[in-house]
Amino acid sequence: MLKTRLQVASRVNYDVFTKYLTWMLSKELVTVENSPDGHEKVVLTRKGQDAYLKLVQWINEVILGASKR
Amino acid sequence: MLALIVIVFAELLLLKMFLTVLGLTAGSAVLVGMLFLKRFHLISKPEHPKTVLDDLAHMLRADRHRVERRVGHLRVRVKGGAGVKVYAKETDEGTEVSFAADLTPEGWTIVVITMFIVSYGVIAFLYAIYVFLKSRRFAQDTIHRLLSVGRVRPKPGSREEVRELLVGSLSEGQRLAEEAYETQKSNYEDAVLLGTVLGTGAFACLLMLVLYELDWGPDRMNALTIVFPSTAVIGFGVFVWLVLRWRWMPHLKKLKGWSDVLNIALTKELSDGFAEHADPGVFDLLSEVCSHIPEWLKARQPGGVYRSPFAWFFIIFGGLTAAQLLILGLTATYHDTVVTLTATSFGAVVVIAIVVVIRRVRNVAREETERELTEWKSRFAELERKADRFLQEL
Repeated sequence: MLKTRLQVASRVNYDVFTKYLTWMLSKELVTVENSPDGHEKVVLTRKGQDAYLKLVQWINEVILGASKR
Repeated sequence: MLALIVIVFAELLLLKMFLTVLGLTAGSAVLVGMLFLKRFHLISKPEHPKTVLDDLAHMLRADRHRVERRVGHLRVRVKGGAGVKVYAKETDEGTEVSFAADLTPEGWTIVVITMFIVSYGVIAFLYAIYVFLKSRRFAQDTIHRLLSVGRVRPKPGSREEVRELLVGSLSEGQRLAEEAYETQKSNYEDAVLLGTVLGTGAFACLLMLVLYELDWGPDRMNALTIVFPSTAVIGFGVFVWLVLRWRWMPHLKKLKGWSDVLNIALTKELSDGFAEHADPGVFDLLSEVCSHIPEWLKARQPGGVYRSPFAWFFIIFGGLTAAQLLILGLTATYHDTVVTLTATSFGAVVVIAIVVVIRRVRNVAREETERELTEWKSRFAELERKADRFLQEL
């Protein structure tokens, strides 16, 4: 995803976004690539995809468990 | 003496008519109950019951049906007041899947009201048959087809798996928001009906009293004395309605808003070609949904017929019975003390029983909501702990 688009979608200001992006880069959850048109793209690594899947699974368990009787 | 005989005979005839109506209504109620208690075999599957129900719930949600997962069964909503309950029972060969027709809250309201008001339960019974046939067709067509085809499980860790999880969460969140909205809307409509009718009625009585004291009786009727009180009564009714609307609308709009937002997100997530254009805000949306679910669980606490249709059937049935008995007791006051005492005593007993049932129904509803909220808080706290631990271990 384009870096600028990701920042808009995350709804935080640029400084906060940069801070979190730097943290994710340090944990190897994402990488930043240069696209042919010169823009920077943020890409999930395999580790990042697994992390996202884990979070989605947990939230799914919490919400789907809300009405079990 | 002759008058006494005529009165007693009339009362016995009234009692006979009452018992006939009672019998027809009760008979219709029993037939309706039988339609919705019977289970019918649907299909046998080799998998475990939990897997069968989980897969079916997922496939139905992906098909945009409203599904409620319960212990041992699913509750699926069809249109027109109809629903289906799907049961999965473990057998030696795997699982036996069966279904029973079900009524939505709106469907139950129609049945209970028509049971007593119209044609001694005949309309209620005909409506119940219509719902039963609709439910059966849905089960035998849609559910049977989905179970026969089976679910294609996505590859673990794939985008498809993530999508399935997001669809499941969005669908369930949307269902909770929509049920909260429907329950609150029903409560609002009841409040408007009760508030405007009772409030306007009480105001009209008060106004009549005041006008009587002011000597504005029928002998002084003219355009002014008719228009002014009528306008005042109607104006008061409108005022009560506006006050209730002002109180309820913001809350209803908020709930409807959430239901619509989740519906749109679900549509987007289910649409073809989403993989390259997925909305990055879905996870964010689901995180926000988690903070609203406790409010929706409380708002879903129904106050109407649905909570326990049989309890409410007893309440309405008992209320009519008590009214009949008390009227009988009052009409016999001047000539038969035994009939008066017997009828009024039984009427009072029925009223006490109704009060006990109402309190029990409300306590059960409140306890169930409290249990759901406690379980939710515990599950959410566990999620936060897991997420914190996970982030620390990265």
